[in-house]
Amino acid sequence: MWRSALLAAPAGYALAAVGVLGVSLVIAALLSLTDRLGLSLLYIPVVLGVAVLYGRGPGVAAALLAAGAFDYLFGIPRFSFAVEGPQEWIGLGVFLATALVTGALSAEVRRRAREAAQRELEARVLRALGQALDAEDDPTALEQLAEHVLSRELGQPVTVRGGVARVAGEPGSHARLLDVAAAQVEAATERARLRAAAAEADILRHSDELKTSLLHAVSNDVRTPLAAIKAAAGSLGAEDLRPDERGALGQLVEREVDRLNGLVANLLDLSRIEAGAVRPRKEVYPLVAVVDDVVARLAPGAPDHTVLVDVPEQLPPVPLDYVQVDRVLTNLLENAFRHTPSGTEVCITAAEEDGVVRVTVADTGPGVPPDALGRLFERFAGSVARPGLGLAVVKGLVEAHGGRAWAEPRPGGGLAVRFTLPLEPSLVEAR
Amino acid sequence: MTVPGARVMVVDDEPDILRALRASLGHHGYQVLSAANGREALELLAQGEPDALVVDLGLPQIDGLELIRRVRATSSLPIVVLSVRDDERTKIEALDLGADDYVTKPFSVQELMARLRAALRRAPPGDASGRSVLRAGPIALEPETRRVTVDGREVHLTPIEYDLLRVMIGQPNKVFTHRMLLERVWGGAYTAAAHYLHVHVGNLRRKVEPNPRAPRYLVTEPGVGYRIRPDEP
Repeated sequence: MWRSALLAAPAGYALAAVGVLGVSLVIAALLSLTDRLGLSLLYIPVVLGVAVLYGRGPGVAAALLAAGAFDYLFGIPRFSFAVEGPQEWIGLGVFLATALVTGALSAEVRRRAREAAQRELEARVLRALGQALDAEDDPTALEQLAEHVLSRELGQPVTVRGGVARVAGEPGSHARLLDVAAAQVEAATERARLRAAAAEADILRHSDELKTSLLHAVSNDVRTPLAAIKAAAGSLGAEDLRPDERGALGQLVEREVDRLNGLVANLLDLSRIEAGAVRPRKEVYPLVAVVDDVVARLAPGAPDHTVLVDVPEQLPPVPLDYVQVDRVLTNLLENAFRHTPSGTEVCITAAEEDGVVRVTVADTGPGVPPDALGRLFERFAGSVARPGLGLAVVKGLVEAHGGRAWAEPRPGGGLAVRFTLPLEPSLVEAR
Repeated sequence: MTVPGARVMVVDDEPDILRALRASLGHHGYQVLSAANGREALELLAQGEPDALVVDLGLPQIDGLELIRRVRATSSLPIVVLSVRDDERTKIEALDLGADDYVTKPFSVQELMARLRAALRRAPPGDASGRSVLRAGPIALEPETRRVTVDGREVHLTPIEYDLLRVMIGQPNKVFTHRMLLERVWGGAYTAAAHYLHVHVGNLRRKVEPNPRAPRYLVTEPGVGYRIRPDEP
C-alpha cells in the first residue's frame, strides 16, 4: 500500500540526501580507477529510486543535490562550485538533464501505478458492495450491510449514515470512493423499495387468480374445524356440563383453532410463493436447534407417534430463515402425523453433501404409489389423499432458500420427503 | 400465581377481543381498563398509570408502535404486545422500542396470563444488576467474579458466551431481539463474529442447559430473538 503523501515527503528528501552522500563516497573511492564524468552516472539510480518511491519533488531534489555534490566534490576545480571550461559545463549540463528527466519519468511511473492501484481498489470495493447490495432485499438493512462490506474491503472501520459514507475518525480518507459507494447504497435502497412495492402489487394480482381455486380446495379443510368449534360452543352453554367436560370442550376449540390458524398461515405463504415474493431473511443457525424446537412444539400434540431426531451436531451451521424453515419442518411433521397410523415412527435425519445439507423426514406409514410421488408437491393435487397445500408450501419455501424438495419411497415402506439447503463454503471450512 | 388487584390496560380495536380479555383478565383477579385506540389509551394513561399495558399493534389513529414509543418516553411500565403472525418485523420493532414481551394472535388465554404475570413480576431493569448472584433454574452467574455454575458445578464460558448469558439473565423473561444482543454483546458493530450469534447461543446451551437438545432456560423466540425463562416459582 502507498504511504500517505504527508509522511512520505520528509522521508523522500532524507533518502535523497543519504543516497547522494553514499554514492559520493563510492565515487571518491573509484576516482583513481576510471573516468570522472562517467562516474557521475552512478547518481542516476539514486534519483530513479527516490522518484519511484516518493514522487516528483524528492526526485528533483535528488537530481539537483547530485549535480551540486558532483560539481563541488569532483568537478574542476575541486571543492568549489565554480565550473571551469566548456567540457565541465557540458558534462555537468548533460548529467543534470539526464537526472531531471529520469526523475520526472520515474515520478510519472509512480503516479500512474498509484492511480492504477487506487482504481483497482475502487473497482474491487464497488464490485463487492454491488454484489452484497443486490443480494439484500430489506431496504432498511442496506446501510448496515454497506458498513460491513466497506469496512471489510478497506480494512478500516467505515460508517454509512443517511447517505454519507466516511472512514470512522478519518473523514477525508477514500472520499471519492466512499461518495460513489454512498450513492450506490442510496440507489440500492430505492431499488429495494421499488422491488418490495412491486412484490406487494404482484401478491394482490395473484391472490385474485388464486382465490377461486383456493376457495374450492380449502372449503372442506375450513368447514371441518368450524363445525367442531360450533358444536363445542353450543355445548359449552349447557348448564348441566361437568367441569371436566367443559375443559375438554375448551381444549377441542383451541386445537381446532390452531388447525385453522395453521391453514391460514399456509395459504398466506402459498400466495407469497405464487407471487415470487418469498425472500428468506437468512441467518446462520445450527440446524439441530431448529429441528429440536419444532419437534418440541409438535410432539406433545401427537402422542401416538414417536419422533426420532438424528441430526449430527458437527454439521456446519446453515444460513436459513428461521420462521420459514420452521414452517417447512412443521408442515412435513404434521403431514406425517396425519397420514400414518398410530404407533408408527417419524424420523428426521440430516447429512452434509456437496455443499448442501440434506434433511429427510421419513415415516413408516403406507407410503405413496411411485407414480403419484411427483404430484405430491402440486398445489391442490393431493387434497384428498395427502393435502398438497402444506407440501406446496414446503417446496416453495425450500426453493426460495436455493434448495430442492422431493419425495421418494422409504426403503422398508413409508414415505421419505427430502429437502436440501445450500451451505456457505466459508462456514463449512470454518467449522 | 396471580397478581391480585393489578391494574391492566388493554388496547385493541376489536370489541370482541376486548370483551374476551376483560372477562378472562377479570376472572384472574386483575382490574381491567380498556381502550379502543391509541388516543384513548393516552388519555386514560394521563389519568393514572396502570400496572401493565397490553397493546395490539394494528391500531387506528395512533398505532401500537407509536403508543409504545410515547409510553416508553416517560414510563417503564410492563408492556405486552399482541400481534399477528407474519409480522415479525413489526413485532421486533415493538420490542426494540421497549415492549417487554409479545403473544401472537390467536393466542391462548393461559399464554397471555403467563406472559403478563412474568412481565409484572420482573424487577425494573437496573435492579437486577445490583444483585450478587443472578439465577435461572440451576444456572447461577456472579457478575463480580464472572463465575458461572450449573447445579453448583463451575462451567467455563467464552467471553461472548458469558456476555450473552449476563445480558439475558439480568432480565429474565424479557425477549431480547437479535439487534439488542448484537448491540449489547458486540457493541452494535455489524461484524463477521456477530454472524454467528445463533451458533454462540447453541454453544452456550451446550454448556448451561441440563438437556441442550430441549432447552428449558435459554429459549428461542422464532425469528425474533431469545429469552431466559427461569423456573416458575
